[in-house]
Amino acid sequence: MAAAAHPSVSTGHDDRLAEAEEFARREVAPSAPARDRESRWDPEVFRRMGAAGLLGGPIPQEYGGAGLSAPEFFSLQLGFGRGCEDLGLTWSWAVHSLQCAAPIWRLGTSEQRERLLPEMCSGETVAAFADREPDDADTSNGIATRAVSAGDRWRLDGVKHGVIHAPFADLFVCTALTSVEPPVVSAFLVERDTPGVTVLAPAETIGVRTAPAATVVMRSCEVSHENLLGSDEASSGRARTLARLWERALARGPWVGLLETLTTRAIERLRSYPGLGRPAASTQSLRAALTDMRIGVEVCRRLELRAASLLQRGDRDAHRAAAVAALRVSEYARSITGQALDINADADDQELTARAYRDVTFLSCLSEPHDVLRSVIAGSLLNLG
Amino acid sequence: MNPAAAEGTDAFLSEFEGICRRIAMRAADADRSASMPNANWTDLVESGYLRLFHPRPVGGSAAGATQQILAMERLARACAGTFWTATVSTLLCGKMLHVLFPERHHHRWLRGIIAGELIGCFAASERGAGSDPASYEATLVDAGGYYVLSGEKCRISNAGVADVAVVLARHRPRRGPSVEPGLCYVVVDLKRAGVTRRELDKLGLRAMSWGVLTFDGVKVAAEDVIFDADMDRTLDCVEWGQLLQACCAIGVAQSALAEAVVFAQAREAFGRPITHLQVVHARLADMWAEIDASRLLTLDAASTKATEGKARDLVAMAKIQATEMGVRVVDDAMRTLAGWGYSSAHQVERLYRDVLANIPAGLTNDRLRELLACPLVGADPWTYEPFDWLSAAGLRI
Repeated sequence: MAAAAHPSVSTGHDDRLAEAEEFARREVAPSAPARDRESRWDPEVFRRMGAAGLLGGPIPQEYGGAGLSAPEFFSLQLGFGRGCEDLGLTWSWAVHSLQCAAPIWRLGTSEQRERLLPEMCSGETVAAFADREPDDADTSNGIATRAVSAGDRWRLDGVKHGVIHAPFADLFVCTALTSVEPPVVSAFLVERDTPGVTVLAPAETIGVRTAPAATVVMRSCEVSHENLLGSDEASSGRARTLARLWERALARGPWVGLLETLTTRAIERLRSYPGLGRPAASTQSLRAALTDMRIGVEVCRRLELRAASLLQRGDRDAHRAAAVAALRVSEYARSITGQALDINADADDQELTARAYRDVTFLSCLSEPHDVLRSVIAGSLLNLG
Repeated sequence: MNPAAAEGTDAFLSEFEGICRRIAMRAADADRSASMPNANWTDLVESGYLRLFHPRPVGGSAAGATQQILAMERLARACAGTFWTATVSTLLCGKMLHVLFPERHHHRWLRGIIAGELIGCFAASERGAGSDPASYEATLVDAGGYYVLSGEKCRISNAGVADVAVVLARHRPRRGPSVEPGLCYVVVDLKRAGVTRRELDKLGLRAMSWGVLTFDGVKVAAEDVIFDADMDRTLDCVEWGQLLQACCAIGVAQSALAEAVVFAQAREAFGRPITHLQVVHARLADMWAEIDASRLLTLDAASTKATEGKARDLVAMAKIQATEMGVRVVDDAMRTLAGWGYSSAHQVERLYRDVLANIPAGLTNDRLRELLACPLVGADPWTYEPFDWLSAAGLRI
């Protein structure tokens, strides 16, 4: 059934995909409804993802990762997405692996890589990307958090919003201005128990409840120079760009799998219509909606695969392709989860459909504004920057 | 496969772009005069475009799927009417002749079409029939030793200029809606006695001839008829038409985006180019992202078809997605040009008219969506199911 609904299914890494799907079905899906109801993240589930080679997917094997290329990692994500029934947890995976582990791998010193990556790959160390700030901050580059050099230490001051994993993360990859004029945004590795770090209580949210977020406040938070990500401000300065590129290109990889599952379930739902007493009048329009769901899935899969391929090759079009993928997959996810809800409207069990809808909607608050993505694309189109 | 890479290294495409630029310069006049300049045809024949889609034994150049799609897009960017004329002839009619008919037809008609000496068309739709072939009325009657074709085909691309038509006619009388229609494919020399043509006025694609073919007792040899055509191979041909529509939409949308970018960079308001306005550049970004996504899907559909011989659902999905994207994107271009978009001094208004043709063409998207969904949900798209839409609304007759 899945193959009929989704032609051209193969990404070329079918075994890996099937294993990841099986893992997710077994280890993630069963507890998803309860974790969502309780706004609870489960460290054991995360550690099992580590043991299954998911968290360290793109990280080289010498640091405990699986050493996968970006397209191979996408296969893993696709499979996981199909089986997990938990969009929130896929975002948990993304922030940890793509926004924290990947920059440490690509830009960190050898000491930082050796010290931090193995336990990040296993899930023993949980990382959070502390980057976004409150709207009312007096910002440059969207960042007001300052890192001031004082002797052999850096002193950090600032507030970070909507930091996924903040309630329990061991390590924050935290962006801060090391210079205001000209503005230079660097990245720091801040351990949770560093004096001056306060994590506020998480707020009640309508979605992504399986990956709770909170505000992180840093007041006169002192870290050693070894906590600057990378050997100097120059490499550290690339961390934010890299984290954004990897997030845009790959974070929504699992969504494609989840959207496939929603589409497959929609097919099953429509097949069973005759016995449900639902007015047949609405059926043709729902069949049309089903076709649109399938089209969306086909487009999303190819956009993600292309973003992964260009990222892997370091192609000059990678930034634009990543922004296009992030923008269009987000938009399709909104319409597909909405269509799934329409098709599922009278069903007894709407838990997955409704939760996916909430998660996708709320994720547009947590992730980058779409207008930023549009600016990236327009900038490339208009030859600006 | 990264299309950008293909473009860079492809000598044919580079040269073809030059030819397309010439064709583009004639596009406004072609639209105004509702005729395709002869120079366009000469240029196209010389370029080898007509040959791309066919194997070498029949005079083709056996181009790869990516090159075919990229070439189609470039021609559609230049002049949608010219693109349709040429591609309906070589790709739609050409493939039907090649796939459904035996070799002597390849010599008689296909080679000429590929060489640009002849123009072909595909005549299926009728005044009262499109998605429902069972209601066709044009009929082929056995006259003992030969056949006679009578009836009318309507809304046929290239009707006024074609030398040959592949006609989809019935060979059994109508017996009711649920009975197998008994259709056959007929190759008709349009210079035969009994053939008349009439042009139909239309919104766009004005460089292309579009109209009515009337068959009044046209004599047809037995060898020019295929009864009970292989459904699978027929659908293979239908896929080519859908790729035509998808590529047209992508090409026209790309032209519209290019116009919108040039305009927005030059147009000033409140002391700066309007590209500095967020709504304007955000819209350009959306347009780019939409075209980009459609191109990816269409290229993949074509590659899959090339590798596996067919890509049924994928091609149909690419057609729906691209044709609807085309209308949205050209609409966005109109908004970007605002008042100037309404004027014929810019090409966007022509692009707007042209791009609309692709949604209803081939099988119209409403019907395509139904054909894609029904098999998956156990519904029959060929049988009308009466339904009570009044009770649900609380109404009674």
